[in-house]
Amino acid sequence: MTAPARARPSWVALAALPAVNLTVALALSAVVVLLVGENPLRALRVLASGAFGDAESIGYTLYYATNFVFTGLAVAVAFHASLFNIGAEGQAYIGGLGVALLCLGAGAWPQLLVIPAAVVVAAAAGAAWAFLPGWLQARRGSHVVITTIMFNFIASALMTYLLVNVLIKPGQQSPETREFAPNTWLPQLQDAAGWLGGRLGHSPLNLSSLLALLAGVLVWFYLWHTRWGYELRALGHNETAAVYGGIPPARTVIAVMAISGGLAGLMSLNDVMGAQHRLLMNFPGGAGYVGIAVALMGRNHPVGIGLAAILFGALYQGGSELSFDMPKLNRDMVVVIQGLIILVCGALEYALRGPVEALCRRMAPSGREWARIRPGHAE
Amino acid sequence: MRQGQVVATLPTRDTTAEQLAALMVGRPVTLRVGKTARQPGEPLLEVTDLVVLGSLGVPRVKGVTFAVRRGEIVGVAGVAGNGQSELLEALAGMRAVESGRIRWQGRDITDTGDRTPRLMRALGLAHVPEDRHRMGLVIPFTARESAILGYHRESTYNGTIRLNRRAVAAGFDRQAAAYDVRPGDGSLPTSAFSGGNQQKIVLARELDRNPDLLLVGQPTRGVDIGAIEFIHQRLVALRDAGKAILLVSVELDEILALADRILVMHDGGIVGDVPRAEATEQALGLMMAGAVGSA
Repeated sequence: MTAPARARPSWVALAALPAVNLTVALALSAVVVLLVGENPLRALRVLASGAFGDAESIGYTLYYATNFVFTGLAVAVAFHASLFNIGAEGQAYIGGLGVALLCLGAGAWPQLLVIPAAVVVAAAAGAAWAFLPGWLQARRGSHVVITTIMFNFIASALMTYLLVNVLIKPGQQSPETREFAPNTWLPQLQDAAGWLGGRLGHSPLNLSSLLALLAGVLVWFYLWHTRWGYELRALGHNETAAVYGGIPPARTVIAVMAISGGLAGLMSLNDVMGAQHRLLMNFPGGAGYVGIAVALMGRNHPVGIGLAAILFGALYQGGSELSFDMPKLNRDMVVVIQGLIILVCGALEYALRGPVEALCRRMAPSGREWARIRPGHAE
Repeated sequence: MRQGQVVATLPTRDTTAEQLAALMVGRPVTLRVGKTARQPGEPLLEVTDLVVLGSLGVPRVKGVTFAVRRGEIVGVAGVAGNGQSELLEALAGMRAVESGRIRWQGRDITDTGDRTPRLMRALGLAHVPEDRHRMGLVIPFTARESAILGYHRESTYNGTIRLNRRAVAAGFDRQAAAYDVRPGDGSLPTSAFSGGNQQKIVLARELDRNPDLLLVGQPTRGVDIGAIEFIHQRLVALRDAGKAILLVSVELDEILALADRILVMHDGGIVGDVPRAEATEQALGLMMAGAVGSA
């Protein structure tokens, strides 16, 4: 009947293949850079040193990566239930609204109370914004892809209204709130390192990066080590089998969407509470959409998402250095490079699998037990 | 051929099914299941005037009435698509009942909350679905994950929060050993198992909790002949232990081999209720075609 799945070593699927894909994407980007009339090797050097050259750039890279970890996890959790949450952008935005309201009102609270309260509020606000599309999907059959996109626009319009008319700092032109009281700021990691006697460069890196790590661990635990994660994945693979197994699809869909939105909402901590200390118009800046690419590249696994987030963080940070140093490679060119990476590593993920596997097999012959990891499946 | 070698070449004319089966499996296979007559006990499941709608909203089960008693295998014969699947799914709690009553051990459970598959399992009613790929298993899951589907919330497998993966692995190993599932490695994806072994995973899972009634659809569809014999023996052993089985199969041979009593379904209704001793292939075939009714 069914032949056993073709065995291949886990490290081919998990490490070698993404590495080869990334190299191909960079090679293609080099061609684009050449076409523009710049030296690709110099561009790569500027990009790399811009992202990882010194402690400060690493700090910025990780700061951006933190945003992408949250949104990437948000997309991945929904994806395991076969739900495509495109609304991380709006959920993060609304999460930021919650955080901002809390911070504006909590000027006199002790910091140790504000931080946990902000975590709860950010997650709850994001979850609420995703709950509605989840509910609509589960009870009324409205597809989450459509509704979450629509909710991004609703969030955007709502926030514009609030920032322009309600939350704006009186007597100022730009639509943003007043700066929060310092007791509501998230501790900067450079300060924390200073207390411990270490030294980090000056960057907006803050406590929420550690929170992102924790979120990754919790998502991993939730998906593969709890009955709820089991139900979510069963539903994602096969709804009929899930119903047979006594898993209520509607309730599960709503819960998964809320969890996904909660993770996206947490992204706002990094920006609103950790870096800007006020609510800016359109602060997620596309991180919700980058999260889709990050989840795709990271194979919806927290470890992969962490690595992909760092890659995209590096592209963000190094990319701004690049456009500064080499004016021909402007912001749009960096977006082109990002697009190539998404295309090769995400959409064409398996295009090179055959040759890479054959090569690895030749290099690492007999004796070794080929792990039986299937793509997209991890424990 | 057996295990990659030609074991015999025979002229078609002189070959019997038993002979072929024995050569394929490597030992004599009894296609006729050894079964002693038994007096059925008290009724477990009583169904009255049950109407069930199909996925398109039209009635597929049109007012059937029957009972399943302890210690009997009730076979439901019929051409595929005459309401058997919907009947099975409704009894398993997967499909809503339009009208009629379902009684379980004398208690009316038609309207018990939402009559979910989980509740039905808790009552002692297990279900081996007709289609293991579409319903009975989550094919991309590891075998041990598939082996807890429907029972994944049980305390055996769970701590307060954590899914106890060691218990899950041990559960699969125990079931695989008892039902001779090969390969016995639960970390393999379910898709790596042959049809017969996948079916054994489902059967082992559903029989592991010692249910009072087993709803079973097409237990041996796409299953090799050695596994067919094994599965049939297990079903008869279950009946001999005083449990009840409702067996839906489109294989008349299978119904005749296993059932103590045969219900014939045609166009959503039961057109025949025949004791095994009085059933012949011809008579059942005519009833299945809707040509004649009995009972």
